[in-house]
Amino acid sequence: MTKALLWRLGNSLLSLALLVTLVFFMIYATPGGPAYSILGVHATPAGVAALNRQMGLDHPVWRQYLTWWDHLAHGNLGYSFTQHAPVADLIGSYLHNTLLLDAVAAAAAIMLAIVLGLAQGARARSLGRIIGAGQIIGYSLPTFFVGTVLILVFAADLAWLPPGGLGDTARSAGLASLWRHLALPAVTLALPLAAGLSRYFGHQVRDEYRQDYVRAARSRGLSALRIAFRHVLRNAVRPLVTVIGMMIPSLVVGGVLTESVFNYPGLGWLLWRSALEQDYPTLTAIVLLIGVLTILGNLAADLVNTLLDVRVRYD
Amino acid sequence: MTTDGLTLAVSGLTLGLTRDRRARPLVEDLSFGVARGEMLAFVGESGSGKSLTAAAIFGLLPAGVQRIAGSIRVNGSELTTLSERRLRAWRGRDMGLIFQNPLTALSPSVGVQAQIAETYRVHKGGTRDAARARARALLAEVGLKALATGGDSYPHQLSGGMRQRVMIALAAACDPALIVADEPTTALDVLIQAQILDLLARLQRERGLAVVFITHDLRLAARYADRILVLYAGRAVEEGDAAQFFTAPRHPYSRALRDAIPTIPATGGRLTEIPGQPPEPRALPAGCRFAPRCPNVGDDCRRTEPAMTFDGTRFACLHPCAKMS
Repeated sequence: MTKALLWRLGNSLLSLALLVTLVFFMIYATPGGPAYSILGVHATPAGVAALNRQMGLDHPVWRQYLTWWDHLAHGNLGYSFTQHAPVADLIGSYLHNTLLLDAVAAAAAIMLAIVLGLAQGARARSLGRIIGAGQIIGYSLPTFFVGTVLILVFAADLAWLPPGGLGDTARSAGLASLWRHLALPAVTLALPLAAGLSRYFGHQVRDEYRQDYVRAARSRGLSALRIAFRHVLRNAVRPLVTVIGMMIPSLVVGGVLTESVFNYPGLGWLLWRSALEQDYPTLTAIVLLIGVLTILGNLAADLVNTLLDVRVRYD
Repeated sequence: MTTDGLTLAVSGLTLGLTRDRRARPLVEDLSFGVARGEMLAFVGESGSGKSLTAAAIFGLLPAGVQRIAGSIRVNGSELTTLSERRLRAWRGRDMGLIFQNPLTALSPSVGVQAQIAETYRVHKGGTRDAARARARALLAEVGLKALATGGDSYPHQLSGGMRQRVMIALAAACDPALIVADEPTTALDVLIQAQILDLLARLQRERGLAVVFITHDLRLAARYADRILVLYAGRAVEEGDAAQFFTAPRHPYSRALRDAIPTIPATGGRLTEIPGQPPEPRALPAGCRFAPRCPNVGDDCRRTEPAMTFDGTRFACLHPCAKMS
């Protein structure tokens, strides 16, 4: 087992190195270069050259590449000229909001997927078809549409929930206010995830229900709930863990749209704003961070899978 | 047939397709009983209705098959009128089912001690520790002392024979009155086969279990069972005492089955076979179902379906074989 884990770890480190390299060349290939976008309409050839020298952009590629690694290793992600703050600080003040939203949405999606998937797999004919139709609708509805409709209904018409933001009020007003602010974006973000996950999980469950051991469990008089949660779930959930790891990119992408629609102060919102303002250092750092989170997510899924699979553990 | 004192009494059991009501039944008018401490062997080819009958006893017929008529009584209580919820209490507590392939029939991600303890606790209650102790005692009783001590083991860690012993311990967990073993040794090699059946016979003797042993192997049936019931295309064709049955089967199908058993030393040449194939449920012949393949066939066989008669054994044949063959 140790060998398998070390292999996974090595794989992840390699992916990380590739990611950092890839992102470096992405910025290097930016047309016009950063100096133009920083100086904007005031750009003169002399000013650009001066700024390039100041930022070290006149050095050869290999040296810039090494400097890039050196800065990353020291936690230096650059300076945002549009927001006048170090990028690391910027990200730091938005990251936890995104992690909170993602965690709530992911937890909701996973719980919903398990319940729906079990129901769908156990009752493939009647209930399963209704759930199946719901999954296709949930998966196809675009985030901005769902978000807007939710705002119109729950914030504008019914006035039950705030239309967006997280505001300073959220933190001072305590947990209840925080939940109220999280509810709509979390639902918006969780909906397509739950639809995709439950569809996949439902197929797993249905395959498990065709196995002999389910019939054997019934022949021993075990209840349907016990069979579902104690026996079927354990076997069907293992492949789900891998898929949950892979859903991190969709969380992030969905997060950009959701956070923009709800004006939620998270990384997605920051990414959207940085893109509009051509704030390259911030943009680069966020892309890098998303890549790192994805790699870590996959690694975590692999580790959990290894621990869950009794066959891998004991052999 | 009197059902008094029988652990399992099935009468007039008829099973058919739910969708296609015009199709002939898959199992028709099947009646049999098993007493305490007795082993009845069901013998027949694939598709003769053996496993369907077992499933019907547990109320676990596959989708698309339903019970059309007949009664199933365990310890004198009618099971066919019970709701699914009530019947669930009977499964595992009063009757245990042993499957053909113990690897697929054991829950793969739950330890074997935990599986036995779970079944016990669902029906008998008590503390987790008591159930676990009971599971360990059962594992020791079925000859798995190594699994009875210390930590739990998963099914994939065990050999085929060990798994089937676990399956037997599971079926016997709540001290049921009846055990149905559906081809319990088909997935095992010959030496292990004998060990498993010896174990089953011992439990039957020691606990006074009623056992239904489903097999396609007439030799195993003759060696272990007290009585043998032969099924052909969904109907009982002969039922009788195992020893007598083996020496003097009356139904031509039973005799053909017996004669198809290879002997040592081999007499050379071809193995004996039964010509033709069993009929499809949708294309059953009129009259006796075995008539197209029967050496004793007469014109009357193609017109009337023979009823069960008693002469040494119970059999359904118009032209039975001689009493001593």
